[in-house]
This record gives sequence, C-alpha cells and structure tokens, in this order.
Amino acid sequence: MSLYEQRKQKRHSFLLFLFSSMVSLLIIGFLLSLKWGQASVSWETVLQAVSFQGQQKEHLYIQTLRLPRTIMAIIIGCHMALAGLLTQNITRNPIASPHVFGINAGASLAVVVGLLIFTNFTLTASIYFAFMGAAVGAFLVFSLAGIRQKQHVQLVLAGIAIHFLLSSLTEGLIILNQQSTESMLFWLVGAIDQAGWLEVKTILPWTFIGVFLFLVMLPSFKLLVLDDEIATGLGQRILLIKLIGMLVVIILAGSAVAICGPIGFVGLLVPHIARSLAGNDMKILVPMTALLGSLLLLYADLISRLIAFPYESPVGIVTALIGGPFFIYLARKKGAASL
Amino acid sequence: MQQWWKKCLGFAMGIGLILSLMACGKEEKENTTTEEQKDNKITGIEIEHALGNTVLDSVPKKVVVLEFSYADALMTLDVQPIGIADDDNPELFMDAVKEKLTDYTSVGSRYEPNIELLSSLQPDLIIADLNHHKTIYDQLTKIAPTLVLDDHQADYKQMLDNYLMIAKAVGKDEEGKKRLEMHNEKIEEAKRKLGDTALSVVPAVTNAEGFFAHSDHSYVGSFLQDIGFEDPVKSDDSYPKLSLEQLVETNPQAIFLMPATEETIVDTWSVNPLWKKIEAVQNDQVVKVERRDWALSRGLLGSEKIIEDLVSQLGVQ
Amino acid sequence: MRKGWVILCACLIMIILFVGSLSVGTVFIGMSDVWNGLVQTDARFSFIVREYRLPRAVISILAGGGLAVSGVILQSLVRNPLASPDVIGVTKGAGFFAAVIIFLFPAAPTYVLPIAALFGAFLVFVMLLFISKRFTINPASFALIGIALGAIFQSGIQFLLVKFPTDINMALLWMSGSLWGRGWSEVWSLLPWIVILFPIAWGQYHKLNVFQLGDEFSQSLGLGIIRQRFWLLLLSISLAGVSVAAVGAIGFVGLIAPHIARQLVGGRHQLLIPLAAIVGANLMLTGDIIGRVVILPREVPVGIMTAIIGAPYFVYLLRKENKRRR
Repeated sequence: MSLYEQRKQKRHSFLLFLFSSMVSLLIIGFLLSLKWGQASVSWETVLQAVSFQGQQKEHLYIQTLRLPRTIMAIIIGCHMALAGLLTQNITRNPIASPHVFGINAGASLAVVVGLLIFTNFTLTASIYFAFMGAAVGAFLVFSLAGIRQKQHVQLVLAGIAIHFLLSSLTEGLIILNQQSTESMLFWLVGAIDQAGWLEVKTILPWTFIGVFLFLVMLPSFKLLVLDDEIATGLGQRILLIKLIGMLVVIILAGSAVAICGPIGFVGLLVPHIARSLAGNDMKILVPMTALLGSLLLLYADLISRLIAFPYESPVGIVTALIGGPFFIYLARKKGAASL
Repeated sequence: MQQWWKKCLGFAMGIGLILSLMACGKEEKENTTTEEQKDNKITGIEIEHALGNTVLDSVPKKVVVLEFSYADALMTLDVQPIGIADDDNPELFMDAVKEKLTDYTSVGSRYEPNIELLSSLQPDLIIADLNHHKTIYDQLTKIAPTLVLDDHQADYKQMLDNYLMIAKAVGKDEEGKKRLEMHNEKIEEAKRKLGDTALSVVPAVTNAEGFFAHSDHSYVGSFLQDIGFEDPVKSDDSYPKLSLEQLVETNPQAIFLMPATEETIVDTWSVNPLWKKIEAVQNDQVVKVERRDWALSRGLLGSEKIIEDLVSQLGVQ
Repeated sequence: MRKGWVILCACLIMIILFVGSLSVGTVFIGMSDVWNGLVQTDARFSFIVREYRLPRAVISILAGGGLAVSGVILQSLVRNPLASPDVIGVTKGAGFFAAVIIFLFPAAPTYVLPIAALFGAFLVFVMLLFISKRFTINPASFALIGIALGAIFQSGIQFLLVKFPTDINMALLWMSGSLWGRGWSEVWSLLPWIVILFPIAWGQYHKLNVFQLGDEFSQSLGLGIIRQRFWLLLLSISLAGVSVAAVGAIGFVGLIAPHIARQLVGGRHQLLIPLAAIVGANLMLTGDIIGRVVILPREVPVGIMTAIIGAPYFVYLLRKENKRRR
C-alpha cells in the first residue's frame, strides 16, 4: 500500500468518525429539545409521544409544540448554513454571509411592508415577499461593491451599510405602528419558538427546491473556487453560475427569514468550522455544512430557552452572541494576514 | 512639536468632561431655584407630585392630558380636556369616555407628544406621565404648570391616588372624593354579584406574535387581585409573554383576551388539541374583551367597565 | 476658487435651513413672528421659537457636524469610503448602555442616559484597542472588528427589547435617533465638546491627508502610525460618542456627509472637514424639518429621515464611483 493510499484511508476513517459523531450529537440534541421545556416531561413520555401514542397534555406538548419547533431549528440551520457557504464561495470572501449582506434585512423589511399593507397576509405570501426583499438587498450590495474579487472588506462594509439602512427602515415602520410594536419586533431578531406544523409544511418545499438546485449545480459551483484566470477563460458562464448561486441563496435565506425572522451569523460561522474540519472538497463540505448548521441552531435554541427561563428568548440573540466573537476572531486572523 | 496636539486632545477631553458635568450641575440648580420661587407664592392650588411641587394660581380651564387614564379621570369630573395624546387614534378611547368627549385636539403619540402643538393650545395645566415624559418636564413647565404622575407603571391602588390628585388639580376636590365613594360602592355591589371569587383568572393582551399575560404587578392584574381573583401566573414581570405550554401549565379557570390586532396568536392556538386541556376552555370561560376598556383606559370608568364585564361573564346567574 | 464658492453655498444653505427650522413645524410661524419670538420672552411664539425649535436646530447642527467629522476621520483612517461611526460599532455600544438605563433603571434621572451612552462609545474604543492588538493590525480589520462588536451589542439591545416589551417604543425611538424633547441642557452638554474637538480635528488635516495615501507613505514621512491611529481613532469616537449621547443613535449622517463633501471638494482634508461638518448639519436640519411635518401630529424620528433622504443619494454616489473605477 502506498503512502498516498494510507493517507486516504486515514482520511476516510476520520470523516466517517466525524459524520457519525455529528449525527449522534444531532440525535442527542433532538431528544433534549423534546424533553426540555417549561413543563417537565419524563423520557418515557417523550418516547411515547414520538411514536405518536398517548393524548395526555404532556404528549401533546411534544407532538404539537416541541417537535415542530425542533424540526424547524434543524431546517433553518441547514438553510442558513448552506446559504452562507454559497455566498462565501460566490464572492470568494471568507467573511461574507446572508446576514452581513443585507439579504436577511431586505427580506425582513419586505415582510414587514407586506404585513402593513395587506390585511390578511398569509405565510406563503410572506415567503414571496421575502424573496423579493432578499433579492433587492443582494442587488444593492453588489451594485455598491461590485462582484470583483479581492474586495473583501469593501464588500462587507457595503453589506453592513445596506444592512443598517434596511433594518433602520424596518425599525422606522415598526415605530410608526405603535399599536403592534411588540409583534413586529420579531422582524428585527429571529425566533423559532412559535413555529408549528403549519410553518414546517410551508417551508419544506423550499428546502427541497433549494437543496435540489444546490446539488444539481454542485459541479458548477466547484468552478467558483477556481482561480481568476481559469474563471475568465470560461467567460460568460461563470457569471451565469454566480447568478444561479445567488438565486439559491435567496431561496434558502429568504424562506428562512420569512418564517423565522432574521437569524444572524449561522451562515457566517458554520462554513468556516466545516471547512476547517472537512477541507475544501465540496462533496464533503456541503453535507458537513448542512449538518453543522442544524446542530448549531438546535443547540442555540436549547440555550435560548435557558437564558430567561421559564420565558423564551429569541434564538437570534444566541447566534449573534456566538457569532460575534467568532467574527472578531476571523477579522483578527485575516488582519494579521493583511487582507 | 508633533506631540502638541495629543496633549491638546487630552486637555480638551478633560475640559469637555468638566464643562458638560457643569452643565448638568447648573441645570439642576436652576430647577431648585424655580421650585423655591414657586414655593414662595402659595396661592390657589398646590400639589406635590412625582417631580416636585406645582402651584396653580387659579382653577385650570384648559387642560392637556398625555395618557388615556387622565382623560378617563377628567370625564368623571366633567372637565373637558382641550388636548389629549391619543396616539392619533380616537378608536382607542373606551366608549364611555368617547361619548362624553366633545372637542379636543390630538397632540399625537403618548410616547412623544407634539410639544409645539401642545404649546400652541396654550393650556394652563398639563398632566404627564413620569416614565414617558420626565425628559421633557423642563419644557412642559415652561408651557404651563405640569402635574407628573406615575401612571404607566401604576397598579389599581396607585391609580386611585392619582385620581384624587387630578381631582385636586382641576379644583374638584370634593367632587372627586364623592365620585370615588360612588366608585367604591359600585365595586362592592359588583363584588356581591360576583359572589365567590376563588377563581384563577388570566387577563392577557394578544397580538400576532404573542400572548402577554397581565400579572398582579400590572394594572389589570392588580385590580382583579383586589376583587379577590387569583393570579396563577405568578411572575415578577408585569406583562410576561407566555407560550402555549406555559399557559396550559398555568391552567387558569378563566381567560380574558384583549386582542390588539385582528389576527392573534390565539387563532392558531385554539386549533391545537392542547387548547382544550385548559380549564378555562373546558368551562367555556375564554372571553374576548376590549383592550381599550381594560388595558388602556385605566381609570374609574375603565375599572367599572372591567368589573361589569366580569359580572356579566362570571356573575351568579 | 470653485471650492471656496462651494463652501460658501453650503453655509448659505445651512443658514436658510436653520431659519427654516425655526419657522416650519406643526405651527407655521412667519419671519416677523420668529424674530419677535427670538428677541422677546413673552411674545406669542417665544416658547416654540426659543425653547423648542432653537435648541433643536442648534443640536442638529452640532450633532450632524460631529458625526460627519467623525466619519471623515474614520474613512481616511481605514482608507475605505464605507467606514462610519455606525459601522465600527460605536453607536451600537452607546445604544446598548442607553437601553440598559431605559429598561433596567427607569427611575434614573434624565442626565444619566447621555453619560451612559458616552461610556458605551468609549467602551467600544477600549475593546477595539485590545482586540486589535493596540491597532497594530491592518486598519481594514478593525473596521471588521467594529462590525462584530456592533453585532454583539445589538443582540444585547434586542434581548432587552424582547424582555421588556412595554418600554419598546421609548427605546426604539432612542435607538433610531430622535430630537424630540431635546432642549438647552443637551445643547450645553454638547457644545463644549464640539467647540473643542472640532478645531483639533481640523488641525489634523495634514496627517489625515498623509494617512489616506497608505501606511507605507505615512511611515516614510515619519509618522508613528500606530500612535497616530490611536489618537485619531479616539478623536473620531469622541466626536461620534458625544453626538450620539445627545441625540441617540442617528445613523448614516456619519457615512453620507463625508461622501457628499468629497464629491464637492475632493479628498483634501483642510476643506473636506469643514464642508463635511456643514453637510452633516444640513442633513440633520433637513431630516428634522421634514420629520416633524410629514405625519402630523406625530413625528418621524430624525434618524429615520436622514436614512431615507441620504440612502438613495448614497447608493447613487457609490455606483458612480464604482463605474469610474472600472
């Protein structure tokens, strides 16, 4: 056996170990999230409830409230992380993410506008509005910074400026509608504690569409990591790939924001961790990112129940508290390498 | 030589800090002197309120109020305010108040009343809230004598105290006391009609995103407790946001919903099988009441309406 | 020569806006009444003119100027036209401490709020100092660190907003920046800072010109870069901090005003700094005038108005700049 094959073997077993440990962590988190809440529930009840037996109120807590919420955390985490990975690849910018890019804030603003204009604004309608808002946000950022490479800081600063602009407009709308301030606050910081089966049903088709498109385009997305010269050699096509990539980002991030509000930093944080664990091979990186994203949001949701127990806190606060310091770490590291 | 400006900067920061502290200090001094001046000329009505003493030379005729509860109080005293901060939405008055209101000018939001408009009305008394308006107290006193009451965070008992202060300020001391006695009689009578009140009750404002229970620290909650009902939420917050799980665990025997928006979270909750596990739902004691009557009016009329609603819902048939 | 005219025109616009802001509002006051209100204490409109609109106009000018100059310094320090006091987290830091006072200590006397906000702004400075290894790293990265700090403070603000929903309106109004209820006491606590810090900032024009060129240039010209950075950043944050303490977290003025000024007179700081200050003041005055008449009897917070007015122009400017660079 050659040295190369040995190494390959080692890597395979490492990846196997990584995936299996992550899946088991996910299962543990899943069960914890079902068991842990304002009312105490025994493990026995959790198991009964998951197998859809029993009609006691403890069973119903799990079946109608905690289960959809937990599934939502997994879905949203996956959405945000994949959107983040794709944004970073498209822009070739390690500090990009839908949140820093004004995509989340744009989607939020659009939904708030929709809520204020139309009286019976359905969940599905809010998803389409969110898509439009996300597209506008992304367009503004790119037109400000240009899609050229080696503009890392420029892009992030443009993104954050647009983010501030859009969220200050959202804030303004909220202030002017004093009577429903509390309910609007949701659109400034995301939360998943209200998610029920209806929300899960609404978002699932978009999860499938987004992930499907992502996987179909995967071979093309690999080109995005290539060098500048080769990319220009491919000419027109690279632009098309970038556009489709942006569309996928908008679908994933927009639908997540429409259902759960702008949950930040998952998209920034997760691809980095995934990359450091699994390397740059997209075939492994993509499932790794999705899995890690779900894990992160699942545990962040658990923490969010702890902060002000027995009252809920929005999960977006927890992700920002985890993501902020990580962002600082990135900025420092890149700073030393003179970005 | 290159360093001079750094020293300058340091020096400047020091000076700036001292000057701004001095500005604060000076301002306080001004306050005390004006108050002293006011103390010297005791004629007419003198009231001690949350931010000092206010002296009125004569009975005020043009009153501007910055909370719904003050409008409620003035209605019971037959005083027409010329301006009210009604959030620019007259629908927020309870019917009993709206009927009696003849003509007034809206001075905008309760949080940021329009001071220009307020001064152009040339009032001779302003009634403001401690929490929302303490920052503009100086400006308000330059327009007219200002009464500052702790209303926003007040419970029922405090509201009654505030009521007497308002009555005194508009020169209707006696009427106020008489009206309060009448109010107490009404409450007592209603209590008799209610009979046994050993019942756990949750009043809550609901909107599209949440169910905000009004605990016994809040105005509505404290009033219900005063009547004898039990608050099952037991929170340190005035308006804790409950999840469906918490509500089911709390298991109140009656729920009074004050919807703030057309669609509320209860629409989704009520199709959940858990909703039927709540005792109030089983007993058919989930009642929609008007938020403007219960949570906004916060005065004698408001609390009389609350207890009227309670009697019609829970009273002995 | 042309540049001199530009500054003169800007000054003229400022004077017009200043007078306009004394006369326009819920109640429209004619010029003669404005004058009477100013000079007499018992004229019909003396309260509105002297106690209400005059201090607001003065604060608009001071805070708008302060934020704009702070933005100019930051942009040449980071060498990026998109840097601004909001972006590096100063306003969020100030906002967080203001929110703590509003929510957790509602009984605190009114003068505590600006002091807390100022403290928050300087705390951000200190954190930037330590995290960026005393500014030895690339200036672009401390803009990024600032963004991250801002996000952390923002999540703190949001936690408080969610935890105490009853006082949301008050807090949101502060966060978006409002001139409502600001009077002479704010003027007196802001004026000394601006009067002292502004000439100091202007005195730095030479260094800022050099800084703009890049580290290598400044090094070869013998500027101790790291130390200069420290002091310039402190200067910028002080200007932003005192302004935010007085008027709340007003965004965009610090970002847009320097841009507009740069378009008009170019990047030389001896002209750029005073013009940016005037443009900032004009933006604030315009935002305030429009904000208090559009939805009578209520008022749109000036911070929202400046964002609405300034943002489209900003997008236009940047696109133009991008095209030119291409």
